[in-house]
Amino acid sequence: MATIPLDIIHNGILPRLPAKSLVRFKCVSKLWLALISSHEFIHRHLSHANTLSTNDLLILTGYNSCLYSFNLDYPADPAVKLPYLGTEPVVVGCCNGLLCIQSHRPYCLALLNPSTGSYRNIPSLLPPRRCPALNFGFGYDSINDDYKVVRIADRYPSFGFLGHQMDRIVHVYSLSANSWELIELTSPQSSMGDRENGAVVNNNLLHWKFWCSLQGNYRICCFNLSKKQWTHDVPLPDFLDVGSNSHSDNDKTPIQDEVLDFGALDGRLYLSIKNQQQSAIDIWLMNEYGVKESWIRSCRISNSRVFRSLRVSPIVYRSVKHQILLRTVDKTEHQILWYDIQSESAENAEVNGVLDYIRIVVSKGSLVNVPGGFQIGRTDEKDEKEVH
Amino acid sequence: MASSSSSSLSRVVVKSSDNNLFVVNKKVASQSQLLKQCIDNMEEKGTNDVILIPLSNVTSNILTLVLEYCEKHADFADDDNNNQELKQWDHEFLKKFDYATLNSLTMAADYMVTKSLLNLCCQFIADSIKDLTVQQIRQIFDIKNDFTPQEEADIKNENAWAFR
Repeated sequence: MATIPLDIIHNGILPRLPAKSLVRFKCVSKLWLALISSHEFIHRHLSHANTLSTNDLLILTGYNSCLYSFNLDYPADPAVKLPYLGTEPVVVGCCNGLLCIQSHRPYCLALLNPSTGSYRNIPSLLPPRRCPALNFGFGYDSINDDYKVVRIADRYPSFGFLGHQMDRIVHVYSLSANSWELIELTSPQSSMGDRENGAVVNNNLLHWKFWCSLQGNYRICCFNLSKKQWTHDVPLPDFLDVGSNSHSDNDKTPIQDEVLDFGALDGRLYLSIKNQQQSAIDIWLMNEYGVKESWIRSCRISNSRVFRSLRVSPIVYRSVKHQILLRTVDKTEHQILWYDIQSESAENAEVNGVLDYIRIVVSKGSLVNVPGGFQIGRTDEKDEKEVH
Repeated sequence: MASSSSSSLSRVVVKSSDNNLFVVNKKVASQSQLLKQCIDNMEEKGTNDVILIPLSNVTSNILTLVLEYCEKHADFADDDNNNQELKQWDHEFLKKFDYATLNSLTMAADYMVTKSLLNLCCQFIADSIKDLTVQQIRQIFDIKNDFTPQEEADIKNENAWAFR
């Protein structure tokens, strides 16, 4: 039987495999081990997944405080239960296939690659008391070759203090320094939502939206991980920009009620907007980063069930099938459904092996290891008792 | 879309390694960059004769399959790669073959520079081997295990998470 040349196996077939299979195939031969472990291949595998929109992993938080990983490329395969890290685990950020996970009792933050089992704890930075909003962002600073976590906390400094002036504290954790650094402590002029993960663009630009009640408008602010500071605002589309002429004074719809969600989809910022006049949800995408005119409405979802949701987020876009995977939030639960842009139909997305879940995020299946991390499940690992 | 221009060819003849001849419409042949290059070269020289392109690495049964693929894809525009019907056809097309045929088809696609077919084969093979055991992978790709039992056990232990 003719065998395929090495070149095709290495460059054509292996980069198309799910990360978990590749980890197993390290045992095939010395050549395969060297190849699959190489920095160059790990990078090629990841960029392949990014450009072809493959290897999308859904990370679900079940009711039993368990995390599950589900590969969207292989919906018939059951979801994989991830190691137990603590109660109420929440994925507070994803980057290059690594998850940043917050869990409780005891409070801890950890980085985990759900495909390879590479794992590392982050020194705890306990959430402040009386903290109405606590947000994280996780990204990769390519200039300094460092993974970083941003934490923004709004807190009331002292109980019963007149006026209840709030503090906003921004910390950045650097994996290479393995420590948290206080970046700023300010009195915020704007409010932010709670548990809103930073929207990652280009790995190192994290974005959050803030509501400025005085001006009656939103701001999208960018935190640059390399510079460890807020660098700029991202322009909003005209209809959300109260400074622009297009928003007439007699427009009765309050802007704050229109924006259901903000985030990043395939490296582009999105806004999901409740369009009351059309009884539809509009998904807007910023096609060219930072360019106001590049905001375009990518689809309008008239489905009544989607319209009734408190929050609607596009989490995966499948251009081949003209489908968007939508995450909807009703009260406390996350649900997901495939929306067909052409036929305008919606159907529940099944996750094989997980019936009920509270939260859901999207990550990538990658071979990227957590720098300085260890492998889960090794029999000679001293910390084995922590995660099993 | 055969051109009526006198300096342009409408057909080529392709010869397989086992000396069978295939008459191929130019638009179909152009799906292969190798054949397209030959046609372009001949057209530059102003040849009106039907040209013969020998493919010394491709047997006639594999060439038949490559040409079947090219014929189907020639009906679709270049930017139609995301066409749902075409995707479905691609999948049904490859589903019929065993590993040996798939391997030969992959190599022919590589040799004839038919990139979309090569990508398709690679994805199909990747999807079908993802759940195989290490031993099965060695068999399919004819790879010799050059680890000692201890070395292999160590790597397995190091990556225990992926073996669950």
